[in-house]
Amino acid sequence: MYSKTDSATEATPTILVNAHGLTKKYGKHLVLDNIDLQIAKGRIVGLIGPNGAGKTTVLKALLGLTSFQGDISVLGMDPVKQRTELLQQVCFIADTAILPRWLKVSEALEYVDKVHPQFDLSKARQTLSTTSIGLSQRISQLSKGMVTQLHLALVMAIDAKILVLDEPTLGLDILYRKQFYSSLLNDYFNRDRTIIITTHQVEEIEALLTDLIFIHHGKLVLNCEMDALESNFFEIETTPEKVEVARALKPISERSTLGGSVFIYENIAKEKLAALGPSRTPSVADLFVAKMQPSQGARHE
Amino acid sequence: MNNYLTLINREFREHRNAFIITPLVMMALVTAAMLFALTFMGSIGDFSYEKITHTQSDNTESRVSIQFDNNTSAMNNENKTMPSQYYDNQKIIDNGLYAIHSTFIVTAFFVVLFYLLGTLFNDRKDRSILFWKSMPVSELQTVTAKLFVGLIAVPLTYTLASWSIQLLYSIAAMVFASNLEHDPWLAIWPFLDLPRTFATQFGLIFIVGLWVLPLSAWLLTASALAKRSPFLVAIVPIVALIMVERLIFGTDYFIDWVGKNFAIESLTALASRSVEIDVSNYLATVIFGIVITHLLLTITVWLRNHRFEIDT
Repeated sequence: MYSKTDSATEATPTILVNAHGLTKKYGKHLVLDNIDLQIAKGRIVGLIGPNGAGKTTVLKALLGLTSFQGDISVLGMDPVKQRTELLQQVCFIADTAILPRWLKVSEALEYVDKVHPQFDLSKARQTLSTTSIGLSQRISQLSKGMVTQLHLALVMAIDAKILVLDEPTLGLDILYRKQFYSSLLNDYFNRDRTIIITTHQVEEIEALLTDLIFIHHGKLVLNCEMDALESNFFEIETTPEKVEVARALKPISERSTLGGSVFIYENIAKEKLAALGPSRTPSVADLFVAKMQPSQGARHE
Repeated sequence: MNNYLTLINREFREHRNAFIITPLVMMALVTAAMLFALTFMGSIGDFSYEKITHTQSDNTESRVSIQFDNNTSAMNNENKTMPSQYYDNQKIIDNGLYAIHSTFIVTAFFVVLFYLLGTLFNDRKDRSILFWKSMPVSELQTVTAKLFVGLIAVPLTYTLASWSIQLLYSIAAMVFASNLEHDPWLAIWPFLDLPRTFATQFGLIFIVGLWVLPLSAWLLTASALAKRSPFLVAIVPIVALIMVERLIFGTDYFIDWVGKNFAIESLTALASRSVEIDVSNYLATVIFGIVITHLLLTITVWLRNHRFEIDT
């Protein structure tokens, strides 16, 4: 997975994450089913899936936090055997609001400053100065949103090659979510950094992503660049009289709207859809629903 | 090394009540108790108006022994000018110092016991382990730092607190003697050998630490293994082993062996106020203990790396 710009500037993209045959079982329950995954440098990858789809397990496997079958290489390292070395270059928020409650904010800053060679203390302090979090406060005194803000301030002050964020803005209000994503894109992200992010608030990160991965029942059901969505997926709203024609073209999704139906198609010649009306690129949220819950009409196909 | 200092600092911050506040409170309480006794009861520990003014030893041949280290101290003190009428003060002083130190060390024992049982469980329970794991610190570093804190750093902290109170007790005893118109440099000072007493107590930290090394590692393993109660995980296998041995073979070899070689020995060392345990007599036990410790720590680190989630 790499962008056109990368292709133009580099003969071959630098692959930072390479997973092959990634499989994970909890007892008899198959959580990840033989996943192959490559992530290149300088990308912002959205890993999207419903609860229990396996996205957190993928992240944990990449970070060496869970056992698995298959091969994974992150920055050329084995995430299980070389986890400590790897974490000098990879930082993550595996879950929000998990900072130790007994810790003071100043102590959290001091701890990360002492153990992480890539941590910029002044940057973290600067970020925190824009919040209402006081350095002398204990984590237990902070609201859930403030804990998340603190955690993000810590993580974003680390000069890491890969940043892994699992539901980073859970519990935050819309204002801070917008601010966070803006800061992530404008202040943190650059072409030397790669961000892997999972979230339920798909629409909020849509504009941010360079690559999109959908995971469902432990399998990747979509893995493409955002640029490719435009040429691979089409959404058409038709009137009732054209519904049967639209269904005949094998949409992956159908949903009813006021006065008509909306169909989403995958890998179809755009000309075939011309008779149905003007087409557009579906939103990530709609595409997600289409991929996760194919409509009745689509299932009939 | 820098990481270790940071990790030790982290433990003291997390457990500041047990590691710092408690010994400070104990210092305050013991000091208050001494002042109370001095003011209202006319005594400090075993010192009283009656004893210090009327105790006269007729046995001028009696030997002086510093009970923290019998042989060497006795020899050392034989060279001092030790007025015979004050010989009994030796025992009183030693008992006072010992009582103070025992109070602190017994408290430290329970603090460490609960610390080791909980330390690798609590961060998994509240999921803050995921934050610690997001830092480039290995589990080996984390586990060994916690073991060091439990075996050395906390006992040392309590010992430092104990020393300050022992020093205060000694000064108070001299002031007390002086107030009773005795020369403290004759009645008290010759019987005080604080450097040697403190050195002995300092040495005990490491000797007892060596003895309880496998037990401590076991507590850490139980802490890392437990899904609900580290205490039960630590106790149940031991009790089960003892019961199975008794029911099937009708013997008590296991509990006898543990008692003889590990737990009892360290308690005896503390109780006897002596460091004269000849470790060479227990060399096989020590080596075996280190091997067991290594095995248990390896398991603990593996658990921290691979089975740290409580809900899976």
